[in-house]
Amino acid sequence: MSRYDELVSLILDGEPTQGELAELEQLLREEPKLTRDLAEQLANWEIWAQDAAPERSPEAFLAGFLTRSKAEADSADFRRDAIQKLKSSNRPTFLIPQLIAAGIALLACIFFFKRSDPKPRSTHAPVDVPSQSFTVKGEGVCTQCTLNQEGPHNKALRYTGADGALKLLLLKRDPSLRQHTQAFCGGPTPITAEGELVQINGEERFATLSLVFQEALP
Amino acid sequence: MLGIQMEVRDLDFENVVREHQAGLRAFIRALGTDEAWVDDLAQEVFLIAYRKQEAFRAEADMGKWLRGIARRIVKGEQRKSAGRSRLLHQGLTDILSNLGHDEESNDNHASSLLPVMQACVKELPESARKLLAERYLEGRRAAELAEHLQMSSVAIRKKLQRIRQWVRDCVQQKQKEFPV
Repeated sequence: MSRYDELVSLILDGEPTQGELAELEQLLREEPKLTRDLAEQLANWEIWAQDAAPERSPEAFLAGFLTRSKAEADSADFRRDAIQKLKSSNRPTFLIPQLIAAGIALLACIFFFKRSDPKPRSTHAPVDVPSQSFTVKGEGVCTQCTLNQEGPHNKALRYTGADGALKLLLLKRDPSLRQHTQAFCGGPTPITAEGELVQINGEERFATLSLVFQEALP
Repeated sequence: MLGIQMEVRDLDFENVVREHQAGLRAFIRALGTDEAWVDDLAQEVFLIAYRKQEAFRAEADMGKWLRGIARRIVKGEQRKSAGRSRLLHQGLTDILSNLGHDEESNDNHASSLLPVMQACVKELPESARKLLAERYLEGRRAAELAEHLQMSSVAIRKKLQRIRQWVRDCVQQKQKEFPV
């Protein structure tokens, strides 16, 4: 296998480092005819991947696109409605008594819950705020390596929900997570993750913003 | 082509996505986009196209228009830092995007290539077909496959590389015998 083939095989099947990719760039600059070869291999095996993996099928792609466009339209509608409401309230002073009342009610609620629940809130369950970042404390697992489920490898968070039941949150596919493959596949690994829920191809996934791994307990 | 025949304002966008998604995703990957981000980026292209469909001229080539949008998004990715970019490597994308891909034939390429690839893969020995399935159906990369099959990652990549080369030769042979 030539060095070029080796570097291409790293792109297609492995985990190339930025250094290896820079080396490939240099090779392509020295031998421009290889560029077309690389583009062809990338395109052809991408077409194969779309056909082979169910989550990349045309139907899954279309479903993902429709979900995403709907989410975008909904969020635009929400923004437009909110702006319209603000603009239409040309006598905002009328709202002041209602705001004061709402504030008092909120303070009363906080006071009541602090009294009735002296224990700190469990950090094992995600806060129920959709489309906003929240923190999950649990274990990093792989659905295939750790949980022995059939199908592709999915990195996931396993945590204890507010109802005491174990829950599984699949992570959004992200190249930056590859460096943690061992932690997930060799898991369960204690983990604290921050991120938000997103819809991918009609399925709810957790898009991570940060991951902190703790040492496994002895 | 569907896109050409339709009136701009009556674009059945679901059909546009169906018709162009495979070729567009292959094009985006060939620009050096990381495998994991290809679909994400392609969806972004269709979202922009959907929002700007009034700018599309009915007599124009929809596939070419979509690929133009994809190029602009990829250019934007090149300005991002390496950790945030959806590209494999900015220098590689630089070279790949200057290649001047055969854009006109790209949409047909996906639909004509796949059956030939499938026919060739059928001719592979069972062990090779199994390895290819584990790589693509199950999405396992070389390191995971190596662990699973108790082989070295390099040996797995070499095997896959030989399979790819065999399939490639076979496709070329079949295309010579039965040109489209």
